[in-house]
Amino acid sequence: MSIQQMLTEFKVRIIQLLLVTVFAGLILTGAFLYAGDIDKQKADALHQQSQINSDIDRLIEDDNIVRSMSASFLQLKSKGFYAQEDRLAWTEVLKQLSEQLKLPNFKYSISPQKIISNIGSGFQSDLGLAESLMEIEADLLHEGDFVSITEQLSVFAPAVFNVSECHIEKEKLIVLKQIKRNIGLRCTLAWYTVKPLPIQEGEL
Amino acid sequence: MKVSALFMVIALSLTPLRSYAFGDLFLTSSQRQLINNMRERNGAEWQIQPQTAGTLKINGFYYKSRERQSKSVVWLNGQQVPNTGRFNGGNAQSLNKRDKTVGIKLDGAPRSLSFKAGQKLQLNQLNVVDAYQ
Repeated sequence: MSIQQMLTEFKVRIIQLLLVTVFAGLILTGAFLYAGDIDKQKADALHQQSQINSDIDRLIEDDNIVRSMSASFLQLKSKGFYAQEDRLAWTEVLKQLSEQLKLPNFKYSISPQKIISNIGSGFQSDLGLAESLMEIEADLLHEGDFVSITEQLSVFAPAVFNVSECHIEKEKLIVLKQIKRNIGLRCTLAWYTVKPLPIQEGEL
Repeated sequence: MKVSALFMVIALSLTPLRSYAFGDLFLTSSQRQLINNMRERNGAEWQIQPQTAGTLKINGFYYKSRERQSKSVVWLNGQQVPNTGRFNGGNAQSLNKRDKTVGIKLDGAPRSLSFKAGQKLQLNQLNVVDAYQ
């Protein structure tokens, strides 16, 4: 083999080597680019997963809130809070209480229902919250009768009430062996109901 | 409404238990209990014997909280009650340190009644008058 032939073969080998190197470089570059893309996709997937996890947590929390609120709502509804006020039921309960407790004197009066528009921040003004004031005047045998009245009203009378104001007066002489007035009671109870709003078209 | 009336009767029948629930306010818990019993029976549960007519004044009582109740002293109608607790017309039975009342069982009464210091009991009528009245 002549020197010329050896040089030619050497050049061919060099060119082959260069081609192989360039080719390998291209493959490596491609591989790095692909791996980089995979990492990005993985990071995106992890980010999406954490977002989905937080969404699930939020939904579970919302579900718990809805469940607890719906239980409270159902309880209020069963007490007649979310309905038209039922004055007849209130008076029935008061009448029965007075008879059961054998109170010497028991009077009550209920003022006309008023809509409360200024409920407070965070509440809709058109919520339909209505208040009725009830004045009670009673002769009690002892102070526990007042507790009985409020407890029984709370359990059996529809709607929600609170004791706005009370004046309790003890008689000078406490009579233990006759049904007589020992404690005088004058109270104002505020009864609350929410009138259900009519369902607008397209709300469902 | 009939069902709620029934439940109300049941709830009100627990009133005697509630008499003890909130301790002493205007009346002592046993005085409220006596009134509840009287209310159920439409009249007094027991009558005072004629010889005990008059007024029983609970002047006061004294006890040392770390000592036993037998060390306590009770004054009724201006007299110190002997250690036996016996006085003319009844027995001073026990001191309730938490409620600061003294239990007094009158002769003929089925159970004792608790009184606050200063209260007066008009025996013939079973009326209680507070110290400041």
